[in-house]
Amino acid sequence: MRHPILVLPALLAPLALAACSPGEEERLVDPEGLVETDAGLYAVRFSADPDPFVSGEPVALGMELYAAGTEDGVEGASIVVTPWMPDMGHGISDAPVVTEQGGGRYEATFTFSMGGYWELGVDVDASAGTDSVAVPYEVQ
Amino acid sequence: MRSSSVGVAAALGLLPGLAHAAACCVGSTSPFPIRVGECEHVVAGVSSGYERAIGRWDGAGDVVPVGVDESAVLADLGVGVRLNRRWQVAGIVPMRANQRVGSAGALWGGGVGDATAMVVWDPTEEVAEGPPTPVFTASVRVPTGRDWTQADGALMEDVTGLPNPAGTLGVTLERSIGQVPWTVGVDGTLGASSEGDLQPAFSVSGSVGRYLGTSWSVLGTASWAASWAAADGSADMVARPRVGARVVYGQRLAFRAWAGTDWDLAVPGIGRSATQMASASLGVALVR
Repeated sequence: MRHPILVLPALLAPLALAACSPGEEERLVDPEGLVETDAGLYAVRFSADPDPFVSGEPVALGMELYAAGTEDGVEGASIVVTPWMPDMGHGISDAPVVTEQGGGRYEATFTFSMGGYWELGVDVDASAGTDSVAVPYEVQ
Repeated sequence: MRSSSVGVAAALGLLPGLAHAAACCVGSTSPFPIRVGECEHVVAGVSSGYERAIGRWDGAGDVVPVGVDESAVLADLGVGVRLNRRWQVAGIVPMRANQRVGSAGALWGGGVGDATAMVVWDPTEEVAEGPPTPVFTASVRVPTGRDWTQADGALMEDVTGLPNPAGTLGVTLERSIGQVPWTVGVDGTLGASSEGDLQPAFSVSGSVGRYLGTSWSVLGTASWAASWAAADGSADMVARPRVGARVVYGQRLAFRAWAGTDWDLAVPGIGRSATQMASASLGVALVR
């Protein structure tokens, strides 16, 4: 069984194959394309470059991090991105490199080793506390 | 009483549980026919081959283009020893050189894969007009290869094995009707992931062959393997259907040589979350 599916407008197209089945929890995204982290401390807007992600070449996962209920970008956060392929039971060999770009914007660069269904775990450690979210993605 | 040519057919039987070691194409090892025939004591040989990704099944079972261009050169060393009429043991050490082609160009990596030790129990002797005879197997895969947690390559091109040991139990029914030997088998595997999750897998397989005189034989194989990266329901099923063909030339108690090819069936719906591979192999073994 898949983990609950996140629906992220910026990442929507590649998720066509990972649609929720009836009864699965669907995490809602507000009209601004933000998704809440699990404990509700933050909201993140994701973007993909290239869009869609493809395997075998470097990709960039863009993240705009906001404090919950505000439009204030969270700066100085420590963010760890962990790609995981649940059906295969493995991740990637080179850990993603996360860089802060100012104004609450962050970017993680890494390479998917193969196409298929992946989950991108995002752990955030900032002034409001630690929180996390997982983003499903069908890599081409 | 089995005819002497059954030994050749028995040697063709793909050892259960070796075809794909676990849930992922990463670390899979190639099959290697080293069953010891009824009249034989020792089989020792080498098999080399080439495999290439030809596509993949996505999570819905649809056939889609392969993402990364994957290929590998394979070489397996194996030995099988008959202890007595009922018992035999076998060991296989696979090696592989992987190539992954991404935007950075071709990346190579490889080395020794996961070794397998196996015990074969053949308790009943096949008789003419009798029922099929069961052959039981128990094997252990040892993580002697490099798993993904140890990988340095960006595309895991240096991965040759899986993180933890796995055990496999299998049973195969064997029968020869005239010049046509056939087998039907099932096996189950329990391994562990790098996270400590139990990884169950099972496969069903079958083969049918034809003796062409005393030295030549041909064999067709088919299998369907299913596995899960975790047994707690957090991972979907990975499924891989495969067909193959072998031609073998042998001299009794001297040697046998074989050539074969295996193809994952690129048919929507019967595979799932797996890379489709096609392979060709050549092998030779000394027989005493």
